[in-house]
Amino acid sequence: MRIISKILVLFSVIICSQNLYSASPDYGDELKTVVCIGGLAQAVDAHLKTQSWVPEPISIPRKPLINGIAFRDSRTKKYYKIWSFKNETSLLEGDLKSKEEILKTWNNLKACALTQEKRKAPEFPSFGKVGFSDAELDKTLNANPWGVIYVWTPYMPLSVEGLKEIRDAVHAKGGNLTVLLDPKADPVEAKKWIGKGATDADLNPATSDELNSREMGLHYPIAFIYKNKFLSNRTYVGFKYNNIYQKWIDIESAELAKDMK
Amino acid sequence: MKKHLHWVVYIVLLTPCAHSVECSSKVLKTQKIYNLPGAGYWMQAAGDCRLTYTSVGGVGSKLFNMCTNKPEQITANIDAYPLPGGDGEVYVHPTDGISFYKFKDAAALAPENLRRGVPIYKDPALQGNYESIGLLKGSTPDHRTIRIAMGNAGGTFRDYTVDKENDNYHITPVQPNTVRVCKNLPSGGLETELPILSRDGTMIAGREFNSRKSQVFRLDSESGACTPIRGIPLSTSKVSFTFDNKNILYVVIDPNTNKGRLIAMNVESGTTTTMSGPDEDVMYMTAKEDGTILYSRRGIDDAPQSTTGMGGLVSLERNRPADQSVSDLVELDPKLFDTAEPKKYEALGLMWGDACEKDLDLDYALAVGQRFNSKFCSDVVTDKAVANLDIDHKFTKIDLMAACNGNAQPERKTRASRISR
Repeated sequence: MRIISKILVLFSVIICSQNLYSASPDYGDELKTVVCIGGLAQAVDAHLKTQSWVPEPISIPRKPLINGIAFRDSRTKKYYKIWSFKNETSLLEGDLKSKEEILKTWNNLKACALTQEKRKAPEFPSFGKVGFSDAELDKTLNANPWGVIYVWTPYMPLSVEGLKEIRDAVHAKGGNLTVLLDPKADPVEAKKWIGKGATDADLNPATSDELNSREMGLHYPIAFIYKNKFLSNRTYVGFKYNNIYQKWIDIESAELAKDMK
Repeated sequence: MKKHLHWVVYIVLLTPCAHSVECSSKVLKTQKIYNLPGAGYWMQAAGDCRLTYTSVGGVGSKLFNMCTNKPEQITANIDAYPLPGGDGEVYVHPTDGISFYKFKDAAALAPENLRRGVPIYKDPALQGNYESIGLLKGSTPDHRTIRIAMGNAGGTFRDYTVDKENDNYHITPVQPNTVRVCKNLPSGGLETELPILSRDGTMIAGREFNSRKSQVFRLDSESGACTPIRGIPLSTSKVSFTFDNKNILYVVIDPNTNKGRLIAMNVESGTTTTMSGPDEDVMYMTAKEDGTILYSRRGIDDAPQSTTGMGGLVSLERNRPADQSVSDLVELDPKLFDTAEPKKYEALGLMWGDACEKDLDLDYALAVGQRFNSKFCSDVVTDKAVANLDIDHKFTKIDLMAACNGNAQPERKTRASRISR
């Protein structure tokens, strides 16, 4: 009996070690070494500190390209970016509704004194109004308790093959699936995949800024998940089989349940 | 009439001033731009001339000959990947496990049979996709040992000997079974998206699920265990190692422009270098054995346009004497990407950015300055622009002109450049 229980324990350890989806370190891990962490910690709302922040390159005129982290809230239309460079740590708080940003900076050489700058938010490079815009995204988030948005491109055949896998996975889990097209893709080329895995309904270009600002152009396919009107900042990149997508949905749904409480 | 004539003269005089600075990516000195038919994703170089890539038109793989500037025929399965080393004649598809084909056989197929090419060898045991291949130490052109890694399910790899005898290739797996990659990691493997092997098969780069960042690991040949070497601090596209294995190439999305920016990162030091210009929208990149970096772009106005609106395949070749052996090419082109005077080239890029109302970060400024086409120097290096430079970039006009003029396009007489002209 003891041997059997030992085997069971060992088996469970092995199974657990195969769990590829543990909780995200996100916000805390990224900020361990930044200067003036005290000022930053006070400025960031407590509820944001448990969210899924994602890495993002920060390009500032006349400064080197900086590795920062970002978080976007599809419900409040607010976004946040944090980066640190030499003796400064900065928090950018933006609002898509008012189109304004506040840049807060703490300088280590000035006893971490805070300076604030209010400014107009830059226009996000637009893909035009035709297609799946932010308004369409809002409708989708409002109409479904949860769902997945899958974006493919005619230039990557595996993103076409993945259409069947994601359809089967989301269907099995009972969610809503929205299939969109790479907004930079040539629609004529996309049509050539009709009947080879894609359908006419899959040709809607993903012009939403909310989607594009989540590094959508990095690679295709790319999958987004949402729940309770909240679009996760974490994406799932590359071709996956049905069972892997189902596992991802389970884990990300649990993570999203914790988000924005 | 006279009344109008002075306006005409005035406009004619002003016109050259209004267009005195070239603000498109034409200012970048680019050794060569190929009009690649279709898009250039998953590009892989085979020898000096051939380039496989996935593409358009509802098929999985395409082949382009950079020496003749013409597409060639290849089997239509997904994600073709040429074997490194040897004669560049064999490639694989991740179909039925992993399947090996010869370019020569594919060229002889009837166009309607491109999905029915017969592999010279296949290994159903190595399942997955996003394959990558390393050439292991001790290989010779006729007796290679290669390592093929596959994505999915934690990642696996298997080694194969590839022995050439006349026109035949004998391919044999080395290990009795496939080897799981990185199972020693807390996550239990590289379910990481996009695992890519280094060119010598000793390292693997993968994107880790939790942090959404890629990492480079040392790969143990026996056990498949992984030891982290270098983290990549951003979400990246698939990476591509240079053939000296010292640098990895990847694309990040610039949130200001929503364009792909090509970055080279030194694996040992972690130093990153932007290699593309601010107006370029890079999709994917790869390296050639001779040190050339290739990258494909989305459509931009000044590039040769294919029917799919792509912005051409850019080839950044090394400035090297034609007789320099490949084994000597241990660094990326020091002139283009590792200059000892980065501030001078940053200054050039910043002056161009100011003239064109582009707020460049210093990485983009350096990329522009290092690749600045010398024929535009006098348009940008003006007294006023030099006077406006900040304290970190204070150089004399003479110094900056000298740096700029040093960017003259070198004459290369390789076989490839002769044919493509």
